[in-house]
Amino acid sequence: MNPLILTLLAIDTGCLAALCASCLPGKITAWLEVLAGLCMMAAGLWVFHIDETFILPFPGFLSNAKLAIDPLSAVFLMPLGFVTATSAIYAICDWSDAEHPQNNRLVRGMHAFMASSMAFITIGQTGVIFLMSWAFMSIAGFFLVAADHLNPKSRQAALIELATTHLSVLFLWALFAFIEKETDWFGFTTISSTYATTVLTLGLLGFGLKAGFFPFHMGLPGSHAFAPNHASALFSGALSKLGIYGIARLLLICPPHAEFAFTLVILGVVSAFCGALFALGQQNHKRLLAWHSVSQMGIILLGLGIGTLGRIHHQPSIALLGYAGALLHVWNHALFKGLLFYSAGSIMRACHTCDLDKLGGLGKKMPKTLFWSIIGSAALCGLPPLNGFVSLLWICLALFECVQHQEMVGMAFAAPLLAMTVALTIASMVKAIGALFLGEPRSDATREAQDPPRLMRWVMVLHGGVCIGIGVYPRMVLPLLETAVSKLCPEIGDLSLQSEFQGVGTTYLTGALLILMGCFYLLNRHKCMRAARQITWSTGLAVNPPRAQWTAASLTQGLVQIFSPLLRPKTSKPRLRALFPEPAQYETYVGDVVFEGLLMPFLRKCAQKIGRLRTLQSGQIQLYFLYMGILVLGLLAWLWFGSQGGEAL
Amino acid sequence: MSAHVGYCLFDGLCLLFLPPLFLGLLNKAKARMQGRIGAPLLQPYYDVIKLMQKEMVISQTTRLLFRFAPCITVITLLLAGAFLPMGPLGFGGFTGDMIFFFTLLAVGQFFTALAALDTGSPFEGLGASREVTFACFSKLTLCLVLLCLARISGSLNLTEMLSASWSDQMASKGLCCAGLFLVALVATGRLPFDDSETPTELDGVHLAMVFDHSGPKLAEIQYGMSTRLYLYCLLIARLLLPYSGNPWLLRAECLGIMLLLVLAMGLLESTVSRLRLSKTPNVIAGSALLCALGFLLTVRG
Repeated sequence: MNPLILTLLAIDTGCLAALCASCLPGKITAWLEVLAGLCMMAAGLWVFHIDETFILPFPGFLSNAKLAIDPLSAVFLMPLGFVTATSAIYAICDWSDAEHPQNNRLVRGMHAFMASSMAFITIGQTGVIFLMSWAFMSIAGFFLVAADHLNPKSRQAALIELATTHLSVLFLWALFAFIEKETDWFGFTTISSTYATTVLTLGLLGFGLKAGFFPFHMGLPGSHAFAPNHASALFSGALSKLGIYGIARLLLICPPHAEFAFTLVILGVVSAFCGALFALGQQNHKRLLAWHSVSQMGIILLGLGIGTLGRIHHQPSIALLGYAGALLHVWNHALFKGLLFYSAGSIMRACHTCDLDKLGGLGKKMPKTLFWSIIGSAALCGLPPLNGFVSLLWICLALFECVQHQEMVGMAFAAPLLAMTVALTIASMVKAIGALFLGEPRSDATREAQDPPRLMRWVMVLHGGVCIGIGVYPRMVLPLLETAVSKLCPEIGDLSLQSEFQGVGTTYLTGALLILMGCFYLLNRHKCMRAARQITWSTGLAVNPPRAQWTAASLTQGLVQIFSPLLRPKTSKPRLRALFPEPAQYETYVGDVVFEGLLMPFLRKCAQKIGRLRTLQSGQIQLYFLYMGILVLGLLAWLWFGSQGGEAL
Repeated sequence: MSAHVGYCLFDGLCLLFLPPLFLGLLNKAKARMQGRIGAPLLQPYYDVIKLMQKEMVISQTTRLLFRFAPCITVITLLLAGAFLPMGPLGFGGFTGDMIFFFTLLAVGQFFTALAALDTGSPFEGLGASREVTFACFSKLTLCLVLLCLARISGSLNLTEMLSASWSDQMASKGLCCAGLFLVALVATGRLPFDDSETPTELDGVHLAMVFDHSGPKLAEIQYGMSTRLYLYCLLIARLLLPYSGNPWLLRAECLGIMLLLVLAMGLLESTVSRLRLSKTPNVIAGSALLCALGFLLTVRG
């Protein structure tokens, strides 16, 4: 028995769950998935504990397939296992057999299948296995996004997801084919610096499309917004992380490459900033969270890039901070984004909408969801003492350390943009929480809202608890991170996060915070108890109609206006002409500039230009046989003439 | 060792008890400029004490968050103050505490904005909206100032960063101080960015957010506002001051410069008119540009 076998067991359990989904009740499948998730986490911890690479070769099978698990795989296996388990539990209530009789089996099966194929990706070291599991994962993802297939928007999102995945597989095929051409090994293997540029570029395109960095994010907002809530958590917590895993794996096998590291930093900063900016303009809560995933992926990428730069310039402390920050952010993002998607799911369950401008005042009816949403949002914003702060602090410190080395001082430009990203994230989280939970209800949608059932609440407690735990006591995860980072960057030697950077001093500060808060509360507890309850005073208005409240759109309108050259918001302003104008409406909408503004027009133009070729694809099977015949004849002719030419020579 | 405790104690007591005095000085300076005698110097203390004894009225729209927000703000401000001693000797801090310092201030902002939205009042929503908008741009400036400091001092500890000698980098020092002064005006809600006197006007930012707080909660907010003023003044004073050997002398000089800064703010308040709201982000972004220029100078030098 070793961690690799344990992971394979987990994958088997997941596949079993997927198979059982069609015949057994939902609960059994879900608990099987939980078992699979726990096995994955145990395998991850085990690898960290003994710090070894376990290899399982299959000579002669699937072009000499090889499975292997090392600390880098374990870094990604851990959040995968955690989110698989929690989302399976969440789905018991949120996607129950009774509420979704038409597609509950499909969704459950595909969820389990996707989790298993993702685990397979983290241990598959050869191209065939990797690409196969990548394809399985994508197909399962397609079915999950299309779960609500009666909605045309959901269908469109699923198709876009499928298209981007195909594109990414195309690049990955090219990547592996190229590696095979140079090294005679179809899989991950040590690459020499002469052709590292091609490998890294292909990898960045292939994996980037799945991770969803800014210019490659086409599939991400739609797929996260339309998938069932528990699947959204898995999408953002694990699926997009696999793109990061691929890039980290390439960093491991390639010699340090300065231009690539620089590209990672630039892409990371652009992605972090633009993701947060586009999130500001969203009106749909889940879409807003999805855009934040784009932003957070950028932050992770920035950490990886700055770590690699530190390695190239022989600054082990920068490398350690950058890599450790990036890897910890992978975990943190899975934790707090999972929490936020779960709370979004509770709201959708209670109100059947996640349109920010239709909700409001939910905090009174769903106090527990409000509490965990605030915890999740504060972690997303990187506020102390929560986990997001720790990883952001390390990445930020890596940037600040760059300032002191003349050859890396240019990287410092990323720090102010990162600070602004954090501020933008705060703005959009204030907007989301304000519009969802605070104030008075804006429509009837919230009438019957209440906190979700106990099982769903416990899932939120679990995620939130780990968020607080890592934030308050980061030493807990330090040894694990150091093990993983020392694989990525052997140069760090015995440099330790624990002794060098006590940015982890948040522990005692939290204690101080809590004690002080307790004192303040006691100080005027009696007054609060006795306080008279009145309607909101505001500026002395006699009534405060809920319609007059600040809406989600108006809260960030100033920022959207300032960045309108980039965001290109579409607004329809009412025209008030007569003395007594008709009732009018003001609408504003921020779309995806890259997808709607650049890519779609380009693709449409392409379709127009080469549309004539479609006549070839008539749908008549006889014609297709004819094409094949022509192709075979052509190939034969080529062979024949080729061999004749050879003889002539 | 005992001297070290003495410095810490002095810094801590100043942080706890001096902030309202600086607010009083500012108001006095403003009143004098306008030809009034003005409220007594200690008026902010009287206000806080009186408000602490008053009863509270709480909006029925709000929930627990609204009641906790002011004390979270005050606590984070005080904790942040612990990392900003007046001299080289003080509470030690840790590597990276300068980021901790500013994120703590952001925690306060986050919760104040949420509490404002909690009331469901349009005016408080307006204040929250403006606050988060301006914060995006002030963060830029603050981060650039920190980059300058990190470059000059070669350290990532706020106490050490502020004790660095700028020797031949006077130009960038001046630019950083100017940028930081503008951001301090924004953060503390002073003219020309925000009106601190007429809370009911539509153009308020800070005061618009706290319409509905009353009694002890309002006292906490007023104390928090004066603490924020104190912290920003202290930060600028530490930036301006050259490093001197004697910690007590340094502390005295520090307080003196803070006094001058507060008087300058009072002067500015009574001579400048309010900036158009749409121009405010531009001005803050301009302050970021100043600091960026300062940073480039340190890199070149």
